[in-house]
Amino acid sequence: MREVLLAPALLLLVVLLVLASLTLGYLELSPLAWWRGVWAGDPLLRLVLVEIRLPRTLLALAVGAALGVAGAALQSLLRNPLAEPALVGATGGASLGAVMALYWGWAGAWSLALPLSGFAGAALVTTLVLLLALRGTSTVGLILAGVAASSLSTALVSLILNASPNPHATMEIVHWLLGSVADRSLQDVALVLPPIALGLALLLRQGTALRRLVLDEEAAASLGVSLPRLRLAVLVGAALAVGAATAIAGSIGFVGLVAPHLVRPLVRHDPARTLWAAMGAGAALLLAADLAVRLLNPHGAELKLGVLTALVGAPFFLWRVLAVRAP
Amino acid sequence: MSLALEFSSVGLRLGGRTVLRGIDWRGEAGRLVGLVGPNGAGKSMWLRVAAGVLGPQQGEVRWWGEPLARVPRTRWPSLIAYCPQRFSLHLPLRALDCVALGLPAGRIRTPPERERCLAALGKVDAADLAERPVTELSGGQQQRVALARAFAQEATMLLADEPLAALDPRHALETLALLRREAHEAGRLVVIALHELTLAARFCDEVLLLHEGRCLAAGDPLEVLDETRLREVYGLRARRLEVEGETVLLPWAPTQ
Repeated sequence: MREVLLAPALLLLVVLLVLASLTLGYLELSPLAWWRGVWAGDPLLRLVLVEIRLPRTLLALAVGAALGVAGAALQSLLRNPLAEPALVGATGGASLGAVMALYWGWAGAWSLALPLSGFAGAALVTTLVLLLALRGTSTVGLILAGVAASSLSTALVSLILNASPNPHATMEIVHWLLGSVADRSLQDVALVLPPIALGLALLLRQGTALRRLVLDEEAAASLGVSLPRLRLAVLVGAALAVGAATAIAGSIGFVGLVAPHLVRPLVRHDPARTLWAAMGAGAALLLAADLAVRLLNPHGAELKLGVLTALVGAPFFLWRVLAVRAP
Repeated sequence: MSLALEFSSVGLRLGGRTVLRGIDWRGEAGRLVGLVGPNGAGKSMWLRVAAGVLGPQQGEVRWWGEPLARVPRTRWPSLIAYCPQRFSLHLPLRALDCVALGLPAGRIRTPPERERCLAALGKVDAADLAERPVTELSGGQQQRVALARAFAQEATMLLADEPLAALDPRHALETLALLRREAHEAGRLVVIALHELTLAARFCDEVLLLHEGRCLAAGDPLEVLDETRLREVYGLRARRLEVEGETVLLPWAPTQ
């Protein structure tokens, strides 16, 4: 019964959060007055809706969905409940690319230089992980390749921070790294939606193969699952979705880790349905987190989205580690 | 008789070591075949190659006369069911959902498919476990659920790597009788790796004796497992007893 209700419930939750995200913000207006003003065609309110709240909402939706599905797919592929999207190296690569764009001032020269440089970084580091991981046949090799590539990206980001000429540039980079979906344009959204959609489509198609992988790699192979092809599909799909998400929003941790865990018991641990449910849960989590950062501190500096997800996600992670370790 | 599984001069190297060499074998449908040999003889590798999990460097494996490499992967589940020795789920699936992994979509979509899975669990005396998370079951119960998953595939061939290893004696005997029925009545080719020579000789239509990656002999169990081969391959002396009109092979003592 609860499984039948899960999809409509998640959909309803996401729709409500989208509406809330479009309704609530920094204007001193009641929700009713806000929508009445938008309806009446007030140019300022329409500008706020289209230029500020709409991109922000769409990004939270897309980035959350990308992180949720990528996390679910990687946890199934690696047969490890603690796997998260950053493992494919796309997060580190996108961060590195974006930080380079900020450091050398490309981002200031052209508005799309930041996300495009992020894409390039994600593509480069993920290719490195793919080359390292697809040579071997083991899951452990894949995890190690991801960890190594991520560490290298982090090291290079630190190097750039270290070499940063002035405090202002450093602040800009650090703020970007903290992760946020605020102050992005519709142009940014249009740029990242196609790769995210492509990545999600690729990942969602792997449901049956990931379901069979519950058995173990050999039994799955005898059921006709081609492991090299599955690995490639999940890595490329996750890299596209997560790379694009990180290139536009910075690194937002824990959503990809937590979303699959929240929904898995509700779909009887079926990896294929976990993918779909994690998409809804990831989107809902990120929309809720983005609403929270707006409402928590309405008058001072906004708490960064990535900071909030980490603050909430880290204890959850710890709890999962303890649960996995328990006999 | 129809030829289900065929090895022709199959050789397999893994990590620089030759694990199978020059294996020729033809398996007829409708027979229960026991794969025997000491630890490290290559039994598991033989099964992996037969199941298509590992591709041999030399020779080729044919399923129903068709080279394995040319059989589309979508047809594999209906042709061959393979039960590895290890049974390690990474998620606490219900036993019924685990059995359903053998279905075409990997899950139950229709009431007949549900019946098929419940029947498979019933065959291995595990119908009462259907709703339990597999990860909470005992080793022997898990092994029976794993076998039920293979049955649910309703494949033309069934390969199982030591399916008796964790079973109590009663379930071991029942499982062997069941596997023999699957072979004789449903016309499948069933190949199982096992260490219990007594049971292999009693239940199998044929045994295939592996030693250091080679197929030493294949055929009637009591003929293959003769005094000389048992001494050379296992370093073992066996007794033969007459019990209820059957000849029972009983491993007795290591040779000096």
